[in-house]
Amino acid sequence: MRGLRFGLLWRFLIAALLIGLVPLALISWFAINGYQAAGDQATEVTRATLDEKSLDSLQLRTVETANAIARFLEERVQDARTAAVIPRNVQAYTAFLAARHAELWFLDGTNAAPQERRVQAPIFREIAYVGVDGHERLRVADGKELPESQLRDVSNPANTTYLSEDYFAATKALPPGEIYVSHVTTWYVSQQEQLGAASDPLAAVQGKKYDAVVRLAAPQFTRAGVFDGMVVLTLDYRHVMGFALHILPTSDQKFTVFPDYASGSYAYMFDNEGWEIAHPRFWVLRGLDAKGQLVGYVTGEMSKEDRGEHPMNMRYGAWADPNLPTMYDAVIRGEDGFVITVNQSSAKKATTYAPIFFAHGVYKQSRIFGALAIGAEMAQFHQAADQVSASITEQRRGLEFQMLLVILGSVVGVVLVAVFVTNTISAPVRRLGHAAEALERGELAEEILDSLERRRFRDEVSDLATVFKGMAEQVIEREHTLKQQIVALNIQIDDRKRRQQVESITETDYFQNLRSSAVQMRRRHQERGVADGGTVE
Amino acid sequence: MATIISIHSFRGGTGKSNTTANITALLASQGYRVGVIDTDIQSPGIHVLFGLDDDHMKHSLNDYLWGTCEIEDAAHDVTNSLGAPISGKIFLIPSSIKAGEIARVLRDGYDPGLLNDGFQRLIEALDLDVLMIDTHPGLNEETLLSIAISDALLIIMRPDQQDYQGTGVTVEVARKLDVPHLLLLVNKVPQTYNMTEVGQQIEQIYKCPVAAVIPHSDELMALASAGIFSLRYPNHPVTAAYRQVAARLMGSGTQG
Repeated sequence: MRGLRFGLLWRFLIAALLIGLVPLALISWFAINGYQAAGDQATEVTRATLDEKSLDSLQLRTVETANAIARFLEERVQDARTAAVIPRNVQAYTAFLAARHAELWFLDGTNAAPQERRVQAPIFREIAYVGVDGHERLRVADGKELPESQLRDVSNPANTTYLSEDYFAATKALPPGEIYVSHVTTWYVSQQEQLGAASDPLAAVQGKKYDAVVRLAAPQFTRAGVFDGMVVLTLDYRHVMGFALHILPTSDQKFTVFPDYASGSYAYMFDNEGWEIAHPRFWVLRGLDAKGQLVGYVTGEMSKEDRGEHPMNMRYGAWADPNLPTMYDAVIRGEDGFVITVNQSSAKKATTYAPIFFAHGVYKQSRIFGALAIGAEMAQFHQAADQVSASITEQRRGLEFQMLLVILGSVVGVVLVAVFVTNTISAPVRRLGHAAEALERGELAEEILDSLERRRFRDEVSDLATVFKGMAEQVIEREHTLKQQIVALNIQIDDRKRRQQVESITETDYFQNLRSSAVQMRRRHQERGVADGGTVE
Repeated sequence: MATIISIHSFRGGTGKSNTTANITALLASQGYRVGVIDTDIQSPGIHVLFGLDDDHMKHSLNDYLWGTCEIEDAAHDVTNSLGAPISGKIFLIPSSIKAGEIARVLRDGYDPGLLNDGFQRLIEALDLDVLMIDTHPGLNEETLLSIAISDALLIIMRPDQQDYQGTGVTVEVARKLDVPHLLLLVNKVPQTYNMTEVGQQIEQIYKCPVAAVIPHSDELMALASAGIFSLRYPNHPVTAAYRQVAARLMGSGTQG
């Protein structure tokens, strides 16, 4: 009975699991895998599409920002022309400066507690009238007229702020109507000067700033067309640099006060000579040494320390990234575009670039001021595609979980059904066994057999119970009859009759004689046996 | 000192001769010299079981009773005709199966005293260890004599209404004859009976030990008059029962 119980349950279980669960598991597996493959494909397509879209959008942004910078510069040229026609007095010059403000964003405070500042600042730092002889006649800086003692002879570049500026000679040589525009001019800021103790430009709030200027000068002429000096405007270059530095390429925020160089996603600018003129790392920017000479460009041969003391020139930057001269050349041809750079940690970076068209002053020949480049880490670039991918993965997880639940539920269901079915079969068989055991003990377990016989559904077990019951009744009946026979044996001896019969024998003379001689006879034969020496001991 | 064992039953057909032959064979197998005497002169039969036929029967018990031969002349050594090796000896003293001689016994009778003398002489002459007496059913004078001189008496009965009464009478008579060892054997019991219970009940009713209860056996029936069962089937439960009966009968003899 024990063996049967084990066997039936397990056989049912295995059969049910094979029939029910294997196909289910296979279907689930194919479904999940198919979904996975379709998802992967969708992700790939989406990613490629979104990459392309992102790149397109970045490209567009680059072009538009470059155009905005060009417009800004063009407006400043217009300002120079305006300055040339206003009266040459303090009031007019002061009013001119005061009328031209724009917002400046910068970080202030300390390295430990940086503060974002957004302030309205004058676009021009200075306005000056320089006479025919090169002497400054009137100079208003930061809203104040400078005393005569501070007026210089700028016909000699050595007298200029940065010791080498030649704007007087260059402007004097211009025909009427043309405006001189200088390169971005300031003292060179080294890595040590910018960073100080800070690890990173973003953290170096207290470090030295890149306070550059661009000189714009408009020559003046008498009615007779004779050269009559010039108006020199000093553009606060921070307003231009801001166009680039505040760009946040891969974020929904679009703009930042100061970019995070470490993220790899930031914008920078270079000028028509290839010098970088906007970048979170100031030590790569064009600058002058203490003698007013341009600091030479950084090269691959330089030591790490030296690299922190030389600016980057795109034309000579192939050692750092082969794309740098490529971009410069394209920009010089007036083309915009993009390059993909793989950096040392094999992260991909896309850089879009666009020329800033501007053809005044030193930029007249090249017809470009320079270019704006926006770099974006591809990983961040993929954000949109990754979201789609993540959502697909999440859905697949959900699907897997549901399938698993269905399978688990089915397992539980199959086990329950198998146990139930097995029980409905083995329990009556077991009870039949108990009935048989009862019969073995000589009892007829009639109530068990009756219950088995009266099962709700007639089946093999109830048939067997019927047969078994019939058999048991017959066996018991036969046993009963036989027992009665034994009982009959007990009651059929008639003692009185027996006594009579015994007496009829024992009362004969023969018997009486025999009885008395029997003992003698037996003794005699035994004695004889002993006398013979015996044969059996 | 030889042991005299009488095998008796109140009625015929109880398997008396068969039981006698089996016990004889088993005892002889144990090395005993056994004499078997068929005193059922009116309906002899045991010689068939020992494979002895008319032609080889020189003298019979009848010849002795009529004084034509000595008792030992009627003894036939049948040890080697049983188809099985036997270490002891079996001597059969048959009754004549000639119709005329049976009729003469019925008509003239004989002196039962001769029987007793014959038994004694037989034991001496053949140097017997055991003398088995296959008695005539019922309780006639010769039977009473056999019982009276026996060391052990085995009464065979069937669980049959007609046997109960007669067996009761036999047991009672045997008691009055002071037979030292009285045993019952219930034979041919239908297999639907519980053998143990039957034995216990019979013992209780007759207040006499039951040596064995032997179920009705088809094998036994098939061999009933064509050989000796216990030699053919030495490992059969029935053979074991016979062996036990033989041991108990002999136990009584040596102790008596």
